[in-house]
Amino acid sequence: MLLAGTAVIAPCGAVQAQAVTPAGTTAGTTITNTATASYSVGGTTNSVSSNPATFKVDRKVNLTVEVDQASTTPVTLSQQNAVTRFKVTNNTNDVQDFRLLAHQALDFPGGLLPGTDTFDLQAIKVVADDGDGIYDPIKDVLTYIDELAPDTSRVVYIVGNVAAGAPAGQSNVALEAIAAAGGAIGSEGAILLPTDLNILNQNNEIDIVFADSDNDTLLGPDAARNGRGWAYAGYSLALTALDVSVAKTATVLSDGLGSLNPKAIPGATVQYCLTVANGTLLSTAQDVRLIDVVPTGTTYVPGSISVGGLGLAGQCLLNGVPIADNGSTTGTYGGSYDVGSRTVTAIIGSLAGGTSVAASFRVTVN
Amino acid sequence: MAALFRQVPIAAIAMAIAAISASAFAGAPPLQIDSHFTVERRVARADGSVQLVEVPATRAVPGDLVNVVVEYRNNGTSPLANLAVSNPVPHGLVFKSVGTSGLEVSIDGARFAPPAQLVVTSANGTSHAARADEIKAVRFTLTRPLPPHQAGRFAFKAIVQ
Repeated sequence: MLLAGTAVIAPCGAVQAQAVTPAGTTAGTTITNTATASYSVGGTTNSVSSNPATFKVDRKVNLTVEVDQASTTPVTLSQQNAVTRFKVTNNTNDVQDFRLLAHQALDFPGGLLPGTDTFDLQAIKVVADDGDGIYDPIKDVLTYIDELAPDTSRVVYIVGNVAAGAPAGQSNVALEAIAAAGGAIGSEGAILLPTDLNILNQNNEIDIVFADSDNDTLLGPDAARNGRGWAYAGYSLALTALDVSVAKTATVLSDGLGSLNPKAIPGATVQYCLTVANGTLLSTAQDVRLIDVVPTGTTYVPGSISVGGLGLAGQCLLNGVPIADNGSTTGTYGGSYDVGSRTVTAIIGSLAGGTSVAASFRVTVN
Repeated sequence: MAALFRQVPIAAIAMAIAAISASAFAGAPPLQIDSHFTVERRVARADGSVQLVEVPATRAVPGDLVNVVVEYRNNGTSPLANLAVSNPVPHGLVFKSVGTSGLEVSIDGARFAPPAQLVVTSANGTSHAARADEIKAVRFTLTRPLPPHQAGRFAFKAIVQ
């Protein structure tokens, strides 16, 4: 675009009005000045115009990166494609690409974290929105921002999965957007570098000047005039979302015949072993109880409930604590057998993150 | 002889016209004006102090302040009277301030006044002192004739849009 000074003869009020966006005159625009003089010599009036003085408007690289959600994203264990939403605005006076990088909390010491970090997302990635403002794992796959016009914004998503055993708390992530060369639709431009201020005589080139601010204080990884912007968001995993699992095994203890490998024949005694595990590190599960219905065709062996640590070498329990059938407690454990509903209950109480407790009871085969 | 006598003045007049034409229309006009852009840069000197120097505007981005400089020179042999230089504010620049006393400004390129005295009348009849961003043209006038071989300059400041 060539903007030339108008001749002085023409009135130049409203005609000079032009659409200038807040980002300013487009980089590469030639600004031209022409002066016109009139003078009299020997009673004759003459006029003469100056040379057209020109310079090119250089590229003033500026961007804004911000979180585009009011609070942290609530997630659940094993959730796939959990999304945090950001917005990148091109404040440069020209079309730009932007390289996008997703960071986990450990990668940005000093960043403006939205909370204490307790876990990392898995398979973290960053994609640009396709324009509809809604994350779609099929459509939103571009890993950079392509050809963003001056003073326009694009929504960007950091996407990741929550581990099945993630501890309760928060995962902090950061988006780093880096100004890159625009001009080629469908391909990611090279990261821009500022033109060396000591190089003179750049009049015919479009110099690159970084004008972005430091948006995360002096402690964060961003800095003023680095052509980059950072913003921070978080995923919150509620305390109730614990990875508690139960496994159940059955072992024939004896078949009444003294066999070396007893079979589950009528009269045999079978021990059921229930193991409950809290796979969420750092988070204690409260009020854990195991409830099991005695199978039909079997008879509960009274007073056979036992609770304790995991056994070794096929043993169900280690240091098992015998539990009465009447609902009373022994130490921190308790239990009961309800004849009417044929239900065995083992009360474990609190179960620390990363630990397991087993409970067993016996039946005889009718 | 009489016929010849009559012809001589005609030839002389023709030669005189030719001479006037040569001085007025052929070759460079007596007034030369040059325009260029400059910016002010802070330059560190050897003694540690910082000096503002005017350098050619090789690097300018939106928001930068540039000087629009016009230099004039009388290369002729006669004084030039009623010298007036008009300079529309270039597209892409917003007028900021005059850099030389005696400059007049205008919002329409037709009516000029010193910056402090320029009044803008809106369509609804209200008027206000012209804001810098409303000024679209600058004019420089010399009250006295510019003698031969004399030169001068004027400048105004503008901001890259």
